[in-house]
Amino acid sequence: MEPGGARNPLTQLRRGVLEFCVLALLGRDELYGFDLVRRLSDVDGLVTSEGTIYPLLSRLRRDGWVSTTWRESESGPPRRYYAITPVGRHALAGFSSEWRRFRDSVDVLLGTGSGDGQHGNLDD
Amino acid sequence: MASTGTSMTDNDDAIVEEYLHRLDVAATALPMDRRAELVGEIADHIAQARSGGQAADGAALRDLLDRLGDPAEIVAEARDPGPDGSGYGPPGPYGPPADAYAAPAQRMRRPRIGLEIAAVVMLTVGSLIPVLGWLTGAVLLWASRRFTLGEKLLATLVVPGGPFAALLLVGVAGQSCSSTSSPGSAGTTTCTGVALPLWLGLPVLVAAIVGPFIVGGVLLKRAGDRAALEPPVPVVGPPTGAGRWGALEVAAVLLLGVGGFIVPLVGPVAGLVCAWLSGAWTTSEKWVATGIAALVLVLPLLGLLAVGL
Repeated sequence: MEPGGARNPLTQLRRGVLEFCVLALLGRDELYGFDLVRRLSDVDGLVTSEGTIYPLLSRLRRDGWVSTTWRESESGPPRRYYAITPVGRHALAGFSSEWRRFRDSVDVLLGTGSGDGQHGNLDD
Repeated sequence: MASTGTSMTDNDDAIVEEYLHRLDVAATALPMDRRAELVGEIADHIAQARSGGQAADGAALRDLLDRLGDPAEIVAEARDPGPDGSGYGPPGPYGPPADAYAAPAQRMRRPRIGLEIAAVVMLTVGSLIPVLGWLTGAVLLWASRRFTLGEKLLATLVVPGGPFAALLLVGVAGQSCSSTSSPGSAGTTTCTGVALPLWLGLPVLVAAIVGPFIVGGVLLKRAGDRAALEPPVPVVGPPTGAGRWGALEVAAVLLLGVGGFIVPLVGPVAGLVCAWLSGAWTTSEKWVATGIAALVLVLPLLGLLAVGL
């Protein structure tokens, strides 16, 4: 175990949150690996190296939070699709409420909250 | 032109080969199956991108590999059990932190005190089920390794049979008297059972009913404190197959299934408590069980009401 991620606190934070972002994406759609990875990395500042998402997906699968199925694709090789399981949904729901509390608390302390302003930006 | 394209593709193939080879070498640290899985997934990712025309030239391909990241970094992610998650508490109103969604990377959860809770519930409320309920609680109590011998003795002796057995005892064995009088002789009064004077009997009865709840509460607090100091335990796989059947789950199913025949209302309710304490079922499964149990509980009540009217 190299403490590589410990260099940057944001790296640690990102790693902790990323799996729930994966679950959130899969909560809306079943996705194959490449598509999922691209959607995650399209979000600014979330993923630094796309390759690390695959070990994460493997862990989620082993923990029973996501399930996978192989499907033929019209173009190219067969694709491995990922779907969220009921256990994964439960975990996601729990994290979401904890996250709101956590985010609000940090915002209050950092003075970055400004509530409506931020949400307005997101909506734009 | 065609030959240039082919050589470009050959060159691209070589770059991809070289990347996958570096990944494969770095992944020797992983177990065999995970190494193969990881290299396979990354190879698929590259193949998907190329078949989608997203790595059409050398520069785009290099960009693709850059975005994937350094093989060593990817393997480090596969090796690392992930950030230390302090378990998040469950959102629901039930039970101790179930840690069902502690960071999956670590695959560890905090020790739970389901057994102890079930023991105390059965020793107290469960004693509504004559003999069987309290006995189940006693067995669970003595099966726990979080109580000292003294605590186990205390909980067993306060009160044998449980609070409701004490109440029952008063009803059955309490003194009842009947008087008979026959012509020509003085009336006789016959009494059965034992009687304590009221000033002694009432406090004893109250103590026998309240005592077990107090002892149970104190013991649960201690069990919780002790469990919090224990090291995390590994999560035992996803909730499928035989793995989901622990003592708590068996108790829940038995109580829900036949508890109602032994003691209406309380049996199934105790079963539901066990079911919600268990981590083996999803929330939706628990709600389904609760709904069915509620239906089963409400229907006889409605029947009774109808008869009463």
